[in-house]
Amino acid sequence: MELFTSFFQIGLNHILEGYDHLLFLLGLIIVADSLRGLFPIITAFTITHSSTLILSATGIMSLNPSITEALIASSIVYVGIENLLRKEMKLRWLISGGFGFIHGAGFSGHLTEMLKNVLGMQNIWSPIVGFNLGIEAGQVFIIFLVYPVIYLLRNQKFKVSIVNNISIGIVAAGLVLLVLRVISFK
Amino acid sequence: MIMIRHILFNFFICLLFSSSLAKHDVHISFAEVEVKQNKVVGKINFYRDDFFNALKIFNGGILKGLSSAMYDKLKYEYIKKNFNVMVNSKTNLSLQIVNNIEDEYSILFNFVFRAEEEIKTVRLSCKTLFELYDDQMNMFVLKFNNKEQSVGFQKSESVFEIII
Repeated sequence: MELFTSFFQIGLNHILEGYDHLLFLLGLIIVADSLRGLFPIITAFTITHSSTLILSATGIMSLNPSITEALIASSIVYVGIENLLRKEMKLRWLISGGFGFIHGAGFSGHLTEMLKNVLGMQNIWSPIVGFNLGIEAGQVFIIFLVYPVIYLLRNQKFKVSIVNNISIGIVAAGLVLLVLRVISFK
Repeated sequence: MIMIRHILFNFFICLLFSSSLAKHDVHISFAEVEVKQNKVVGKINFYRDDFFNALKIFNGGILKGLSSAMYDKLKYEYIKKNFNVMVNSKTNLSLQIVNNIEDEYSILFNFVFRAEEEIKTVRLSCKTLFELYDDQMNMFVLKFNNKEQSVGFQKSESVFEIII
């Protein structure tokens, strides 16, 4: 249980300090018009990034970390641009779900490999599940932090302007991340 | 056009703070340690790039041009300096690295610390990679007396004691 708790904390810290995941989440949350609308988007993201984690843990899937990191940066740019250009955000769960696979690979990365080396395949689940649930907890925390502000602004005329400005920031930060990660390609 | 100008403006602002936008990794190492009657055995795994960055600092910024033997000695000295086992509140055990295995992303050491007497208490200290990252955590799964306990060594808490 202690191992589970420790990895839960590591997962929680990882998402709260991992601004790339935060920027992506923020991009998804700020355009949501209701919690009901946000639910499928976040659920799709959760299911797919958890799937990548399991696929990576079982050795079925292995992505090059440099490519994964560049794709995560691209997902941030994409979400920001979509916020700016699309009037209606229908079927956005497809986008969050699709990019969830990539973010999941970024979350789990070589953590799984390291655990496998030491604990063996059969004993890695407790830390891996703890790590993943820590990430989910961090995600829920961010939603509860950001969504009320978006909700309060829902009928304000300047909401569009705020969303656009935040999205511009998201695109710019995503582009910087993309450039930095492509430059440091191994 | 205005939007593109805004994006470019923000891009350059972000670029100014790009060092703080660098990729954030999980900074951990992971070990399994078993305390037996008169020895402490186990394995410890580091992310390869982290370990070699630490090794480079340890060797005064130089890591190229070392012979294989010098390389092995350096790895041994680094671990010996940062990972210590004291038993029965008096004896520091000497480290023996049985072997080390590297893959693309990680480096694993199998080790043993031998004692000349029966082990009653163990004091573990692990400070590996703390010089690299403030949030580095060295996770240990300890096995002793048919019990299992996990411990996280951090910069603020790098020593742990168990009574057998």
